[in-house]
Amino acid sequence: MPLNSVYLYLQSKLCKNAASDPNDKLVEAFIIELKESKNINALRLMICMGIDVKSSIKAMCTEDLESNTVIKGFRECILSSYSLSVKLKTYPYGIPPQIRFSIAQGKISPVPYFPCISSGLRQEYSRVSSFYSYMMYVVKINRNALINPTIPDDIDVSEMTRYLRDFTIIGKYKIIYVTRLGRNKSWVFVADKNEIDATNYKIQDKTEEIINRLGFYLQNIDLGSNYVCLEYDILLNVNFYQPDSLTGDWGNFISIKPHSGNEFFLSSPNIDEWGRTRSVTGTAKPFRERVHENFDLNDAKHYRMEVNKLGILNRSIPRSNNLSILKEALERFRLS
Amino acid sequence: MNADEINNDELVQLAKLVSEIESEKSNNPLQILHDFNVEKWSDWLEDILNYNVAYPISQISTEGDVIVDIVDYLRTNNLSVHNYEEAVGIIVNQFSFSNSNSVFLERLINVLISIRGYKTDSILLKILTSRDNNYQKGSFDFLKSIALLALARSSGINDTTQSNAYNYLKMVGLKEMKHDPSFYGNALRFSYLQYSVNHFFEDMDTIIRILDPQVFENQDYQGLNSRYALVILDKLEEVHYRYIGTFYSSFCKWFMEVGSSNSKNSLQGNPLFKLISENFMDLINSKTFIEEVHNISSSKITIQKEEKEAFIEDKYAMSLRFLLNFTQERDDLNLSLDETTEVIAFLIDTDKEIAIDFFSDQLRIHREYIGNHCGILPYLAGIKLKDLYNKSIIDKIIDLFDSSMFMPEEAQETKDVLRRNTINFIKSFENDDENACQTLNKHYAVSS
Repeated sequence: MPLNSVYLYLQSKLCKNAASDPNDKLVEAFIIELKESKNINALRLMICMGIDVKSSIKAMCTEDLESNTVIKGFRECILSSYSLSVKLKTYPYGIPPQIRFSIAQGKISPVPYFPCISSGLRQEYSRVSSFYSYMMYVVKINRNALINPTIPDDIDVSEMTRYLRDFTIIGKYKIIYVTRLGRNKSWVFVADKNEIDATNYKIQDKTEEIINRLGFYLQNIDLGSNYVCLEYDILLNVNFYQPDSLTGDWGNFISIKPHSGNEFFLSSPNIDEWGRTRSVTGTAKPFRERVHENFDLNDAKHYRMEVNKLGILNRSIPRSNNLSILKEALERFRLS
Repeated sequence: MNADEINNDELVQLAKLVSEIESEKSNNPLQILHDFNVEKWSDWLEDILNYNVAYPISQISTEGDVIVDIVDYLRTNNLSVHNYEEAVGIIVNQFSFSNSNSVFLERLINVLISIRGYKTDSILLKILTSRDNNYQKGSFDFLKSIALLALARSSGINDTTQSNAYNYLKMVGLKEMKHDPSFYGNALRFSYLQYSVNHFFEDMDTIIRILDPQVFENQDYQGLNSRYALVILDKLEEVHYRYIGTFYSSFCKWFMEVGSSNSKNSLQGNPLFKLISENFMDLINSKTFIEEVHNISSSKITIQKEEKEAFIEDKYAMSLRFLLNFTQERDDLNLSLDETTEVIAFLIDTDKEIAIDFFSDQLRIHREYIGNHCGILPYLAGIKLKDLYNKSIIDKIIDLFDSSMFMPEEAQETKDVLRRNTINFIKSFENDDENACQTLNKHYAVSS
């Protein structure tokens, strides 16, 4: 039985009283469903949950499962996935478990599940984004005559070439003051600025390398896009966490948010309160990554972001196969 | 079994499972989407809108909205967007403005903008022209604004919808433009995209005139702090970017017409006009503008027809910069007197009445500056004077001549040239028009 070891591990930690406790029984049924699902994302989710549970137990130095907030969070998410009154028209044979988990993710309170995800010390963060997304999901939502007086009210998707010209030639939109990022409940992934800077992308074109190492979800539509790198204000006062299964992307997508994860997302062992990206090719060195919640400070406060040109992604990055993604997940599970 | 160990058997079985999953035909989203009819697309849209998840695809780009991204995705993969377009139209039609989620509608309108050439412009017109008080004002305004943008961008809009939208903007929409810069910006887009660059300047002009000065009372006039000025400047850049061939001529003519305090259409004293003319000078001198003008110049080398057009447009560009410099008493342009003369001659050739009206007015206003720096006055008086002849021009030339009386002593040389040119001007009419000649002689006698 593939992934049996992960299943057994999760079963022993999340639902060991399945025979007598109805909730444990539901949790167990969910894990079985994941294990038996013929879907890569479902299998990836199951292994990531295993990584997170192992990491949290190790970090807490106790087998007291009752007090483990990661386990609590998973159970809450799984149980609420059963109570969803969702009827998706495009899933005629029932909603797959990873999709139910994904929908439930947005319904549970996004509290930090210490210690697997906990806020780190003040660090420097960078976020890579397509120029289009930057304009639409950062610039546009922060247009405000007082904090960004040179940004017009009517940013238009059809004007992107001109905006890019202005950004490239005269440096317009290079500095943006941010009072909100994204909408709805969602997580924003950021990388360690020092590691991004170490690629020397400001001197040489490193677009492909960075996109690859970040493990961006890519389709044809992204080819030819211009990418930029947003450097976060070090004073930005929001909590950053190590990403885990509850912040990962399992097929869900909440609209209009800067970045919700990708098909290469894998949880990481708890080493230094940073997660690790998983590259598109599977062979490139990962970046350290964290997540933060979307925020809206209602113009009361704003933070400066500096945006640098990254470059154009001109060709597809060869995607590693699904087997290697799952193998790496298993390796991370083993190391947790 | 030790749960921590990943054994080889498991890996072998995992490889088998992955291979099985990947070989399933149904996993290819393109094949599934290829077979989608209108009903299936409607289901897909509803699932995404309600739950953010749908089969077979819930996300395309890293950060975009999948219902918008899917349009490019289909086109890139040579799949028709027809059924999808129909489905979007059906769902938009189902919306009741009084109880709908405006975020959904906003997303669907963004799809329509992305598709272009759609057949649902009547729905957009309905949103644009609706007045539903059940909406929260802010979100409803925003919807109207993006519906207007969608109409502006539509390449398949029919004549009736186009004129109905335009009439609405002219009749009712002006009120909305007065309190919503975004709506105003999109109205300007509608104007130049659906009509012409000349319409754009006419409509820009209209709004500048009707905007309540109170809008600006609590805002900083300096720099680009006014949202309206920012929207206008951005639209000027936008039109310049798209229609460089006609941009300068339209702008230059408009500027001459409204820049004169004597003109019945004068915008002198209008705070918004002031902001625009001040800041556009910097914009036009910016690197992006100069490079594009340069590109036009280099196109002369290849095609003769374009060469002529390029030359004309180049002249307009230069003229506009000259006028902006002139009216703001700036010395950014560093034109030689010959070049200055050439620009003025070009403007007078282009629209004699407006040009002379503008100059005589500006000469009065800026007489000291002109006397000290520009030295254009005598050239203006000396250029093609005979061609300028008619009664109103004579009056203006006399005005112009009068203004030389106030020139400072340092400008004595300029003053002398002006007088000499004016006398020549008067003499040139001696045999042509007795009355005119008498008028001028009389005036000359008084002045000297």
